[in-house]
Amino acid sequence: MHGVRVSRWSLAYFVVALLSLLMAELLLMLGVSDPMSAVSAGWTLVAVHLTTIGWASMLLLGALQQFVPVLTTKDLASQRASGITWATMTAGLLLLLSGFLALPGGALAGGRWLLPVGGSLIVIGVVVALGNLGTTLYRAWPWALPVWFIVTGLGFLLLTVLLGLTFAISLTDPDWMSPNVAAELFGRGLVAHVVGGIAGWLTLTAMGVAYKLLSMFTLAPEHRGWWGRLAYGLTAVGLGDIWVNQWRVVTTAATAGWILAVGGITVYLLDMMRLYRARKRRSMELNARMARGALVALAVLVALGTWARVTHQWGRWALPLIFLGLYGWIGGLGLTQLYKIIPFLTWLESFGKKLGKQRTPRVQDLVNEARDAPAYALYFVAVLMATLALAFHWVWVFRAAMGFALVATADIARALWRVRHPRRSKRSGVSSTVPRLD
Amino acid sequence: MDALTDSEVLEALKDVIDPELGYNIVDLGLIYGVTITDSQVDVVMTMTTPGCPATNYIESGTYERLRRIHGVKDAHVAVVWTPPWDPSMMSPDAKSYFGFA
Repeated sequence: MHGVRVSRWSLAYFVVALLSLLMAELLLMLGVSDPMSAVSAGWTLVAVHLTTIGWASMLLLGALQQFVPVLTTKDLASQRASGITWATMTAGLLLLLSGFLALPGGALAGGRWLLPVGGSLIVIGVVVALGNLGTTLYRAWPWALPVWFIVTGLGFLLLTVLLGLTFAISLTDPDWMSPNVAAELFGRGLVAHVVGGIAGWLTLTAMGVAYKLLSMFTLAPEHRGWWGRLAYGLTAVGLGDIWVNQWRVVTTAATAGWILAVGGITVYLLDMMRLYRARKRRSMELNARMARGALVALAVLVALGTWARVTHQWGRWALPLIFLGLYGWIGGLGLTQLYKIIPFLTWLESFGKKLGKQRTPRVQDLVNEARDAPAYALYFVAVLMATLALAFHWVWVFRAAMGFALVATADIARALWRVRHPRRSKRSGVSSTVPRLD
Repeated sequence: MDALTDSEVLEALKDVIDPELGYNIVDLGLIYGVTITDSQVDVVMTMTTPGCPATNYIESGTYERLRRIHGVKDAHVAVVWTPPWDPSMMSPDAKSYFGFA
């Protein structure tokens, strides 16, 4: 046998991810979580971590359980470890969210143990994932370009969850550290937590995954040459520099990091344009067409972020840009690629062993692109609307936009559910979404 | 019984698809060679992406389809990675389907 085994756990990760995204959007639409007026309030922290851990991190970790073997042509070191990470991270997330609600003045009384225990479980899950994915990657040295992005992203993930656990312990026991250290931690440390999580872990990993996935799906050249190496080198060094110098009072070094990272992402975006232009598959499927929305979101993020930094308006634009990064770039890329990945895994389960014995449908036959495309358009419009609302403090526009995003995400989740559970014709007992096979 | 020909084997293998691209493996250019010896067929083929989880299914599907050809008593499928597959290896029909000439 020459291929790698199908990941046993990826779909379970995707279920948690989609449920988390739907829940976060619901809380933001209802105004229960309000990032504009109370970023550090319990319910806002719930929505933030549903988005960052529940949605984005579970999505990427789930994808990596299948994607790392594809990249390395080696089977995942352990399927069991993949399940352990899923279980500990899901349980850890639930406890962490409950812990935010148990903070002083929160909705839950007591439960001081929830935050550190939840944070610890998440750290354990990440360490197990690093061991599992790391062992698989170690066997595949020397690494291809996308692997470098992923390995660096995983390094940032560890830093981010360790910092997160430190916050969780500090919030539970404020006397754990001196006031000066606590002030540093919740000042510089918080920025390092956000930069490390959203830019280091999520963005670098998504960049590497998108390089491989989009070249495969569009039949574009996979080898990116010096464009790819430059994009990786500049972005990784730049983000590392920002993270390290966030802890020091050396603004020049941090500025150099910003310039390098912005340069790296710009090179990456230009290379993605080259990739799309060089594709052999002119008529693209929905996932590849709509992924351009996520890349546009990343481009807008870089442009606006640069402008905000140069004009000293970072304070006003930080929140909208973080939102655009999480929902437009990472969220958009995730939702579009799930539309290909879930049908593909479903096809392997349902039809893989029938290949050669009877006629089988194509992966594309498991979805209805014409029916589902409007949801993606609505999602990206809603994200743009919400980003502007956050920038200009339009509370009701933001809540309406999150309502649209919720409707769009729910419709995409419905489409993916239908892939897994096709309707069956009452008369013939045959799925009506899949062509007759014989 | 007439002797089995390469074209009959290739025609039969058009029933096997690459599920992601949604096109048959013959027109995609994945079949590098067919050797017929009496009632045995040996096929040398490749895949679009090394490490793809569909590889094992396509390989065994090719074998299953070969075994179902009338007159074939034994079959062997060898997956190779050199030369690596390239979209230019597609047939004109497949290129037209994907939108490039």
